[in-house]
Amino acid sequence: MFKGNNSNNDGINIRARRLKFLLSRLRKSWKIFYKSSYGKAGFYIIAVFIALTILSPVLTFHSPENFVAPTIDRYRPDIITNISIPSTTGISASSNFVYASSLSSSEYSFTYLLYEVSPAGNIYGIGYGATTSTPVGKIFSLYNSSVTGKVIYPVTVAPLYCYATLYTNPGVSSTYVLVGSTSGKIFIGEVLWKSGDPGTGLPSMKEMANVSINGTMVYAPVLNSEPASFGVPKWVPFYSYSAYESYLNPAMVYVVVKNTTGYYLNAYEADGLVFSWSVKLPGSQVPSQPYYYGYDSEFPVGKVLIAQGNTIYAFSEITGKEAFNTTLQGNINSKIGISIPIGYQSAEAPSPIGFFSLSNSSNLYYISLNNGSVSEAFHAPGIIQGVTTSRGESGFPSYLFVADTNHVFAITSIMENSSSAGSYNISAAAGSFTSNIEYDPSVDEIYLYTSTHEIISVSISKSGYSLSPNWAAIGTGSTYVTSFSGQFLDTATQSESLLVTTSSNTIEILSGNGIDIAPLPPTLHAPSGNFYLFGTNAGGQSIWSQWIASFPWDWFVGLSVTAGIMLIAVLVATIIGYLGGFTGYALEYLSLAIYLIPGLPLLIVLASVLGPTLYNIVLILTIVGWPFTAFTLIGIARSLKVRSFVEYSRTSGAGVLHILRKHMLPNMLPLVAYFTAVSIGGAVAGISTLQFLGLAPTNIPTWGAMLSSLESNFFEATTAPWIIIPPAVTLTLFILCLIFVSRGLDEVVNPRLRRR
Amino acid sequence: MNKYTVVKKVAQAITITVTVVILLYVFFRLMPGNPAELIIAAVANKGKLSPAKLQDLLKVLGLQYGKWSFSGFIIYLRDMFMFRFGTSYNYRNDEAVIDVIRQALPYTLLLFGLAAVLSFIIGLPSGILTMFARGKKKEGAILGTSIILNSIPFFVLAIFLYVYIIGDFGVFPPSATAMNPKDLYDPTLYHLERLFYYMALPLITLTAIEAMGHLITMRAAMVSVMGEDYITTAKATGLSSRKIMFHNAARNAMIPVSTRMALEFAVLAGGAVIVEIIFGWPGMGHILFNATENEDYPLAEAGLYILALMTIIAYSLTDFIHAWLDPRLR
Repeated sequence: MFKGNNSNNDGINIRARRLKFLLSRLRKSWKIFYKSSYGKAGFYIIAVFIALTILSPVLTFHSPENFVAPTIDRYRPDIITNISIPSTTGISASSNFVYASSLSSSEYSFTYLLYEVSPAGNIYGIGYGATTSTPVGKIFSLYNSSVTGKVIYPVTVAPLYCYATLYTNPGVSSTYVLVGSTSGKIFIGEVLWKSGDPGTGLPSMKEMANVSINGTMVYAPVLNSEPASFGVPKWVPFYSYSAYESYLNPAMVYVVVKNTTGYYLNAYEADGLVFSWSVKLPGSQVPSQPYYYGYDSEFPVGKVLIAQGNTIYAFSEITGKEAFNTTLQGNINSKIGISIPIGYQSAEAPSPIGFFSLSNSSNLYYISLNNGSVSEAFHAPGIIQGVTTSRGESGFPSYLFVADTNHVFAITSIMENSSSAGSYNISAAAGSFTSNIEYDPSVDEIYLYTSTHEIISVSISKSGYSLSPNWAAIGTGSTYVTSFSGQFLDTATQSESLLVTTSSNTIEILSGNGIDIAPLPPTLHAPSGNFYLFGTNAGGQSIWSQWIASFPWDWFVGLSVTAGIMLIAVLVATIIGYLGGFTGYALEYLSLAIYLIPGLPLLIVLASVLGPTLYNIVLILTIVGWPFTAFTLIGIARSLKVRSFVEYSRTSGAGVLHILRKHMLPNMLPLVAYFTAVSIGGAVAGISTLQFLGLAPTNIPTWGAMLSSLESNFFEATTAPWIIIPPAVTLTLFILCLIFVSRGLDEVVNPRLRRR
Repeated sequence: MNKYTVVKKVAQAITITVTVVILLYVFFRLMPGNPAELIIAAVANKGKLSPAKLQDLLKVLGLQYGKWSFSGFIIYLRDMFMFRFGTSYNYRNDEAVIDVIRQALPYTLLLFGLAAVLSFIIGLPSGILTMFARGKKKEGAILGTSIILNSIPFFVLAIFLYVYIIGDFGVFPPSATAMNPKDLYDPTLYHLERLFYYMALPLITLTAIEAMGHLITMRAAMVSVMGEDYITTAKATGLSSRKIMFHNAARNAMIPVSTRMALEFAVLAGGAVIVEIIFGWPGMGHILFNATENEDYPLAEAGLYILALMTIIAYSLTDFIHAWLDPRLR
């Protein structure tokens, strides 16, 4: 019992002593390792790598595979033309008064000039390159209209269709410029071309008529005939088929006039601007923008709608006779006024309706144009800021876009179900906005002009009723968009274009479609509010997220391959190296043969033979990687075998397993550590190469996968170095730091290498 | 060098070659399922396949006796050693595999050989010269640069050169596939110029990485040799340090370096393959990559075998050099 007890104590003592010895040896090795500059540098770099690996889930801000930069970040306005306006014209975007360009465009009329009117009443035409006669930026002084004033309303360029012989043959268009000012004058002029053909030769203008109104104009004039710029600012009415198809009704110009006695709605025949009728509005509030509607047989005579205070009035377009009036629950939001989508004017519509909102209300209402009854159409979360519609050339109904302070809603099928609305959050309240000129039943776009001088292109997908931003035009530096005149069909390119005026006194024509600018450069302030520390690749994926998410995966591949290699190599080396004999030689030759088949081609072939799954790749890298470690370790085992302490052990009756465990393994451990460091780097380099060649899965985030897109397009990287630098440098640094560590371990293993 | 050594080395090379051939046999049959069935299914879909034609196809694939049959293996062994690789069934209208390889191999041999020789010529002397800067800051800078360069994977350096030399400056051609075979075989100045014009970047990639490896090894070997007693003796006799380094130390330091070189051939051949793929150099790497992309296994097998043969020969030759350098091994 005493003996047993004693030996037990001894056992504990020996174990504790051995542990102490091991610890002290480890500490000594660490000192040597840390003393070598390579080991030190390697240790610190690898510490950073490990830290980033641990933090990787926190720092991966976007999904490395699924995240794609939103379109608003990826698309920029495509500036087709940039025209600066000379100061001699008197047109200044930076002055207190902004004179918007207005333009004509439609399949009926071809406009080759952008029109601007200076405060002095000079009408200018600005070429934008549609024909050789109208080169970009060339300014033609067309006419001095003598319409001057504090605010000149944007010129309405209208091909007027009417029965009047004075103008032109019905159906054949000419371009007319209508100018109104607060000083109480309306002017109409026709654009003439020297050659007779529109767009060729020198343009000039012939005055058709001008008329003084008794008071000041409150809004820009409204026409009952076809204006060219359909969806441009809201004050431009939809075209009137009553005038166009029957040629019976005269084209009229409707003007809201304010004088000392109150507000009037005046109507003038466009032909000669002859006064036709005038109605005094009873209230004292500022009325809303008048709205003309009249489409087909259902409305033999169109109506002009105007709201003042809590009442909506409808007047006959020709006689000015009141058709009906409706009293509302509150005052109408005169800023929004009444809008009637073309789809809801159609005879196919169940009932013609117009939309409006009350001031400080979050409800959108519609009014029946047959009897004036009012219903609620839509309830928005915030106060409604504006309403606009898509044109609805084909199909019914057209989209209705409603903006409150933070959202834009696309509403379809008001008559069926008003709740089917997709929404898009906007960062700023929409100051004014306009709809797309073309109507596509499946996809449509609207352009929002926000109060922060931003134009956002928003596209709608009908299938999902979802709105997504396309691109945003904010301007560069101190330049911002001062006015947005809307979109037009570019005569030169027949593509949809937008016209804006910027604060640096330039007119810009933007393409309706933005341009894809991915790969995005590194940015902290993308338009969507996202940040891309390392930019994005051509597919819009965040480089930073892919890069940081790669750390654990690359470690995983490196470590699992290395574990396999070490397991095989140590087993083979200890058993074969110690036992020797024929099997020993056979395995040595096997490892040498595998090693001598060039590694990379072997990897390529094996990856293609076994199939490129992650586990196969790990297996392949292990198969290809083990021989190098194995035959170095075999050599060590052979030399250990003949060392005296192994001999003594064997002669004193120790078994093979005991010798392997107690003598071989501990003496191989430093070398195994050395090879572990080398193998991790090798495995990561291996999988990266395979991924680059497309022979390993690229759907896991690794540095190699990040580089794999380059194989098909190297030149992408010349313009976007942020795609290639992070993965390539990290890959190199990773391998480098492991080599440093291995060199540090080398100094621990080989005392001869230490600096004396 | 005695006869025994020569015979032993040759026997060793042959043993390794046989092992490689067996390994390739196994590797190409690791594929799940029978490759012949897959291929025949693909061929049969296109048109009707007569039994005679089917047997023909199986024979071409070496699979007429099944996937793991011994008689098939014997035929395979015979074919491999007689360089009868059959016809490539995807590449250039069923061209004989040996012809495809014959066209590509010279390109690889040139690139690989030149890179091996150049890296040796650059690496070893600079390794010795680094010794003159021993203990100075310069040494750290040289060594640091060489370690960084040596740890860049081949394909990363190739990408960088591709993007920033070809992409930004356009000095070198983006792809060498436009090369004319005449450039390789006609040693006139015009063709030689064109050859180096196309080869410059692949060669630089391989040589830069490989030479740095030699530099590091050579320097390490020199450091350990300089601590040997015979160097101290040589110093005591009053020889100049230059003479000691080049005459006494360098030769002995070459022994570990030559061992490394022998082992590095496999790595260099692998590097040559990826560099060839990136720069469009029409060598074996290109063939091999296309073969795997098209699942052209006879071609891939033969290509890998030829590349392995290349490294085995290089390895054995270095072994002889090793034996010549180290009198103990003779």
